[in-house]
Parts: sequence; structure tokens; C-alpha cells
Amino acid sequence: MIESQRHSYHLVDPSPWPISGSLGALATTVGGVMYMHPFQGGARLLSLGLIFLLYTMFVWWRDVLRESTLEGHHTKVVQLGPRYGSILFIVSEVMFFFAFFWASSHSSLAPAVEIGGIWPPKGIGVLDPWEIPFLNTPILPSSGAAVTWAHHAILAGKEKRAVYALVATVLLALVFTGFQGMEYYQAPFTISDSIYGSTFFLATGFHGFHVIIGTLFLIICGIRQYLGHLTKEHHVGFEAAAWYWHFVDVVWLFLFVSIYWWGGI
Amino acid sequence: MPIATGHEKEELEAELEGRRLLDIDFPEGPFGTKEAPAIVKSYYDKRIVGCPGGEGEDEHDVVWFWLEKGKSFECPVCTQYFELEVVGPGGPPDGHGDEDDHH
Repeated sequence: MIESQRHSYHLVDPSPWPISGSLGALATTVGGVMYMHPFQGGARLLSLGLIFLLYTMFVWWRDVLRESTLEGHHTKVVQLGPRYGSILFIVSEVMFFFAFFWASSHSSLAPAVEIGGIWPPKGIGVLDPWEIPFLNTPILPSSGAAVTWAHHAILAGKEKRAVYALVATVLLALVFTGFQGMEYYQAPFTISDSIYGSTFFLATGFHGFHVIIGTLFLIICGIRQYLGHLTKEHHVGFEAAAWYWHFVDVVWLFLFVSIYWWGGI
Repeated sequence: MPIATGHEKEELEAELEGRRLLDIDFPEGPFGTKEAPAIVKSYYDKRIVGCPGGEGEDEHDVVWFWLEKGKSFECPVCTQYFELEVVGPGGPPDGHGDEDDHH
């Protein structure tokens, strides 16, 4: 039998999305700077850039789904690409968060005289780690357990059960984000209240942002699972979402221990 | 058979039949001699082959050559013997008339 191609690779078609994504990113950064400084039209350029970026993300990922699920270009060797890509992306995210932990530790281990030589800084009333943060601590890992349940369901070919498990994962994620939102709403300090507020909201804020991205990723996986896109032989998108989710999970544990707990007493 | 389409499906089908799709891509085996030449599979009547010599000390820089159907080839460096086995439709590999067809 002669196959449709004599190699296992995916030779991609020319695509406008790399350049449209680049232009969107350029408009977003330039527009963002203009918006935050006294320039006219900054908000307009920023919005245009964000719309461009979101549109590019949608159509680019739509094309990847067409090429993989509907056209069968993602052979075993092709699947290695997005796998390594996801892992390296998560490694870069680890470094991103490492910097925030460094900043927080730098300022808290030897508190400067400007903040009273103590941590939390003089005059800052912190959140009690044993209230909402402690309640959130089992919620996010439970969501991580639920995504593992979904993974086992996919590997066992139990398609419906995988959808239920993903729904459970996403619901726990939403509960976590809801609690974080409540906590932010009633926090007694803001991002501009000393180095404590800055490091606290930078680290937990970026974590929350990543939780929201991970939740969207999992929702997409749930929809694709419902549509029958994911098989037990081929579910790279789901695996990437699960890795990402575990990463977000681990970051929370470090946030709880070092920023909420250690940094709050 | 799991749900799949296109080349991914061909790959999975081949796997279920216990063969690797690109099996012919990595020919290996014992050193080819005149009596028992190294067999290289090909979809067409000729294929570019590289001889790396024998194991360890006997390895040499790769010698590339056209291996043609019905003609054995002896490596000028290590005297390894090669023969082509056509496993596909045969004919010229470039999909259109080969200069060899005209004489």
C-alpha cells in the first residue's frame, strides 16, 4: 500500500496568522503605553490591538484543530512538537513566577527601614491565611485531581465520564476564582500600599490570571471532549491543559505557604 | 480502529497491522556480501542509498549512490553489497518520465 505521503511530517500551508498576531501584539503594546501616558487615542489603539490578538488566537487555533482533528496531519511524530512546546512554555512560566517569589522574598527577608524594618510592613493589615486562602488550598488541588480523573476516563475510552470529570474540574476552578475575587474585593490594602501590596497583588494577581486562562483551556477541552475530538490515542490538547493546570496548582501551594502564610505572620 | 483521518489514520492502521509505516526508511541488517547482499526496500525502481561501512572500526564516511532495480552495487570503500527490493508500484521515482526510459 502506498500512503498519501511518504514521510510523517506536517508541511503546513502558508498562513496569515503569524503576521496578524505580531501586528496585534505591536498595537497592544504601543497602545498600552500610550494609554498609560498622556497620548491621544491610546485606548483606541489598545482595544484594536487586543481585538486583533483575540481574533488571531481564535482563527489560528481553529486552523490547528482543522489540520489535526479534521485532516489528520498530526501523526505521532507531529504530536511531539506541541508536546515539547507546551512543556517549554510551562518551564518559562515557572521562571516568570520565580521572579515574583524572588521579589517578595527580597523585600520580606530583610525588611527595609522605610517599611519599619518589619514584615508585613508597619501599618499594613494582612489577610488571614487560615480563612479564605486556606479554604482555597484544598479546592484547587481537588480540581487537579478531577482533571486526572478526566485523563483516566479518556484513556479508558469513557467519553461521557470524561466530560463529567471536566465539568467538575471547571466548577472547582470557578469556585476558587470566585473566592479569590471576594478576597480581593474586601482586602484591607491595595497594590499601591507599600511593597507588600505590590508583591502580593503582582504574584496572586498573575496567578489568578493564569487560573482563568487554565479554566478557559479546560472549558475548550470539555467542549472538544463532548464533540468527540479527543480519543484515547490522541488528546495532546487535553494533556497540555492538564499540565498547565497542575502547574497553576503548584504555584498556588507556593503562594499560600510563602506569601499568605509565612509572609502574613 | 480509533477515530482518525488522513495520514494519521494510515499510521494507526499500519500499527494495528503490526507494521511501521516508514519501515523502509531506515534499512539496517548484517553487512551485505556478494552471496547475501544487504537488501534495501524501495517504492520505485531506484533509490538513493548511503553506505556507512561496518560496525565500529569498520565505519567510514557515508558513500551515497543510486541503487537500481536488478543491479547490485558494491561500495567502493568497504565492498559491501547492496540490492534493491521494489515494494511499491515501481517505475521512476520522480513521478514523470525518467531519462532512462528513452533508451
